[in-house]
Amino acid sequence: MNKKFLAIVTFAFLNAEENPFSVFDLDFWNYNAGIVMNFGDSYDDFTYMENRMDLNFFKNNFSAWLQYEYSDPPELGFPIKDLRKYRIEYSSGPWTLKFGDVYEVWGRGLVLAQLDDQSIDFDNSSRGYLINYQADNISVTQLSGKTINAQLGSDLRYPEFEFTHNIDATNINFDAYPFSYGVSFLQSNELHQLKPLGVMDTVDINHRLHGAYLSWYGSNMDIFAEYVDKQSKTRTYQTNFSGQEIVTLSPLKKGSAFYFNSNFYSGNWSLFFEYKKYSFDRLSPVDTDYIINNYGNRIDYQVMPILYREQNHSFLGRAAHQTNANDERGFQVELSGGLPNGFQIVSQYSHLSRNDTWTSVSPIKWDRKEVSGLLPTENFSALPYKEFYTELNGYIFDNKLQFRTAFGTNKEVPKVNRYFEGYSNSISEVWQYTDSLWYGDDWFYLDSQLVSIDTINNQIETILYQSSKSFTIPIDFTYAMNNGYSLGFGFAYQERYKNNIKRGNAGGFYNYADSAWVLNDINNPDSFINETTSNYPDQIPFQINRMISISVGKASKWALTLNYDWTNVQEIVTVDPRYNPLEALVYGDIKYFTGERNRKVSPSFTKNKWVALEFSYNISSTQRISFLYGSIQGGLVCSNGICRILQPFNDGLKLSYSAIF
Amino acid sequence: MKKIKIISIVILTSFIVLLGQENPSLGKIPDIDLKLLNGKKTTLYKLLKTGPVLLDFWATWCKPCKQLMKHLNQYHNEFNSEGFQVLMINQDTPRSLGKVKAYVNSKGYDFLVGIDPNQQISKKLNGQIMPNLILINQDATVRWRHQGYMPGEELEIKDQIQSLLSSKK
Repeated sequence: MNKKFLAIVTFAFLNAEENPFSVFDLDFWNYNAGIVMNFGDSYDDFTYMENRMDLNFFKNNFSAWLQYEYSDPPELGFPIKDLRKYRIEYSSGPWTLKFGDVYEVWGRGLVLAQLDDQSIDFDNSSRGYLINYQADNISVTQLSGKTINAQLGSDLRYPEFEFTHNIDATNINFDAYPFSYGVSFLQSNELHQLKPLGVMDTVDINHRLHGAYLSWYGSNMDIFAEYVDKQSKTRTYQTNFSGQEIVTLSPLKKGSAFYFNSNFYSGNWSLFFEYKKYSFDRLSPVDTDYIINNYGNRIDYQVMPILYREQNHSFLGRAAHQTNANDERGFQVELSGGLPNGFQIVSQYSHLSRNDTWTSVSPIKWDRKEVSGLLPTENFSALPYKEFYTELNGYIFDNKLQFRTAFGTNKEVPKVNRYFEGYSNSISEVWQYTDSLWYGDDWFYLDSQLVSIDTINNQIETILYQSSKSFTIPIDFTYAMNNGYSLGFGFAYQERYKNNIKRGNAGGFYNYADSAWVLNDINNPDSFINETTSNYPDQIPFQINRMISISVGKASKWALTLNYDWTNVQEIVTVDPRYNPLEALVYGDIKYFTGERNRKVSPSFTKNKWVALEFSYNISSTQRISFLYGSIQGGLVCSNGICRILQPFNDGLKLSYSAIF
Repeated sequence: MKKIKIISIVILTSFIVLLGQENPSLGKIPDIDLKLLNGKKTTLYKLLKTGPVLLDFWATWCKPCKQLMKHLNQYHNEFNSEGFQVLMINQDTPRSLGKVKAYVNSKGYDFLVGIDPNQQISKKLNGQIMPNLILINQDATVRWRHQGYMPGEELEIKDQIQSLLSSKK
C-alpha cells in the first residue's frame, strides 16, 4: 500500500508545474468520481453490502485511476475493504506507460481480453505494467503482470478455488485503412489449484499463445478473422545430486481457435454472419463440466465471441446456452433491417456443436470421431445447440408508444451419459479336453482343443441423454405522455422442457468379459425401449414461466415498478420463508391486514411466485437512489455469455445508490 | 443494523454535499483515443474542434440505451449544422462486438460510434452505469451529466443541448 502511495505521489510531483505541493490541492487536478452502493438483506439471510468508489485524476499527460471497495460481504466473491484497483498512466509523444491494473483487448479476445464484470464476479485484469509505442500506422504493446482469478465451487457466493497467472504479452498492430492487422503473443505461468482454498494442492502450467488477426472495412461489407494457436506444458521441479533445481516442461495440451465475422449492408438492412471453431480441449461429454481437474485448456484471458444472442430479458437469459470455449464450432446469422414507419425487425439463427461425435464403447471409455467439414452437427453426442430469435420493435402513435415484441426458441442437448450405436460381438467357445490324468480325488486336464466358436453379432443401441428446449414470448410497451409521465407494461411467457431420454435395445449394463453392452432381452435383440422422463420434480412435463411488469414514472424524477414472476414448477425447489405484506396486497388477501392470517407461514397460493416492488428516485441528474422490496427468483443468470446460479432473494430489501461527481 | 447506519450516513453526507448542486462544476474531460466503428481512429479533442459533443455509453443488450438512441440520433442531425455531434461509445465485449455495426446500420443512425470493448473509456469517465450522458463544451469542460433513461427525459437532454449551443452564440 505504501509503495502504491509513493508511486502516485512521485508521478504527481513530476507533473506539478510550479509548486510541487499544489498536487495536494484538488483545484490542481481535473478529476471525476463515481460512487456505487448496493445493500441487500433478505429474510432467509441473503445479506450483502457492496460499496465502490472510483476516482480519476487528470493533468497534462498524466492520469490516475483509483477504485476503493468496502464490501463485506459482497453479493458474490470475497469480502474486500481496501484499494481494489489502481492505475497510473503517463503519455508522452508516441509513448504510453501504464502501471497498476491493466485491461487490454486484442482482436476479438482469442488471445487476450481483460474485463471486469461485477455481476458475475469476473475480473481478469493483470496488475503490473504496460508500455505502448504508437506512431503513424504501427502500435506495439507489451504488458506484464499478475492475475488472480477466483472460481466458485459448491458454494453459490464464496469462491473456493484460485488460479494465479503471471503473464507477459506482446501485440503489434498495423493500421493501413481499410485494412488493419496484428499479431499477438502471450505467455502465462499458471498456478492452478486442484483442491478448495486452504489445501495446498496445485499444478504449475506454462501456456503459450500465438495469434494473428485481420480486418477489412468496405462501403457495403466488412470482414474480421482471427486465429490463435495454443500449447500448454506442465512444469515440474527436481533437484539433482549437486543440489541444483532443474525445471522440466512436459507437453500437456495443444489447441487452436479460429473466428470469422462478416457484415453485409444494403440501405438500412444488415446481414451479420459469424463462424467459430474453438478446439483447445476435446473431452468426452461426461468429462467437460468440471474445470478444476481439466486444466491446460482455454485460459481466463481468452474471452471469445459466443455466437448466440446476448439477451436482455431475464427469461431468455435463464434459458441461454452455457458456452464451451474449449470445444465448440458453429455459426450465427442475423438479419436486421428498417421497415416503414421506423419499425425494425431482427431475425437471428444460431447452430453450435462440439467438434466431435462421441461413442461410449464402454461405461468409462469414449471414442471420438471428428465432425467432417466445417459446420456443426446435429448428432446428440456432439451436444448440439440451436437458437432462433425474431423481434419487431418500433414506435407508434406519434412516437409516444414504444413497443417490442419477440419470439425466442432454443433446443439443446446439455448432457450425454451414454451414446452407443453399432455392432457388438459376443463370442461363445466350446472346448474338448483331450488328455487328462486322475490325481488324488479329481481329474487334471493336461490338454484341450477348441471344438467350435459361436459368434453372436447384435446391433446395439444404448443412448442416455438430457434434452432441453424452450420458447419465450416477451412483449414490452412504454407509453410516454406529454406531461412527462410514462407508463410501462411488460409481459413474458415461457415454456421450458427438460427431459431425460433413454433409448435403445441395451439398457446400460456392460459385460466387461465380452466387451459388449448387454441387451435388454438376450433372446430378443429387437426389444427396444424409448423412455422420456421429465427432469422437473413430480414428473411435471414442462415448466411454464410468466412475468408481468408494470411501471409508472415521471421523467427525470422517479419510477415505480412492480414485478410479478411465477412458475408452475421449480427445477431446484426453494421455500418462501415468510408471507410479506406486498404479497398480500398483490394477492388481495384482506385476511392478512385484518390479522386473521398467520404471517409466518406462507399460504399455498404464494408457492412458486415472486413479487417485488422497486422505487427509484433521481436526486439529481447525477445521483440516483432505488429501493426494492420483495422477492426475486434465483436461478441461472447470464451476463455476456458467462452464466452463474443466483441465490434466491426472499422477502427482503435492496437499496442502491449511485452518483457521479 | 450497523451496516444500514453506515450506508445511511454515507448517503446523507452525499445529499448534503450535492443537494442543490443540480449542475455542479464537473471539470475538464481528458483527451481520449477513439477507435470508431468504421475502423478509423480519432481523438475526443479532434471532435471537439468542430463543436460540442454529447457522449453516451451504450451496449447492444442495454434496453434503455437503445430506447434513447433514436432521440440522440435526431438531435445529432438537428444540431449538426451548428457543429454539434453525438458520440456513442459502445461497451459490448468481444463476445458480441461483431453485431454492433449491423445494429447501428439497420437503425440508420448517423451519429459517431466508438468502441470500448475493455471499458477503459467508461472507467476513465465513470460511465459504467448505462446509459450515461456527458455533454462536453468545446473547451473540453463538462457542461452536464446524466445517468439512466426514463421516457420523457429526451426533452431535458434537448434543452441542455440547446442551452449549450445558444450560450456559444
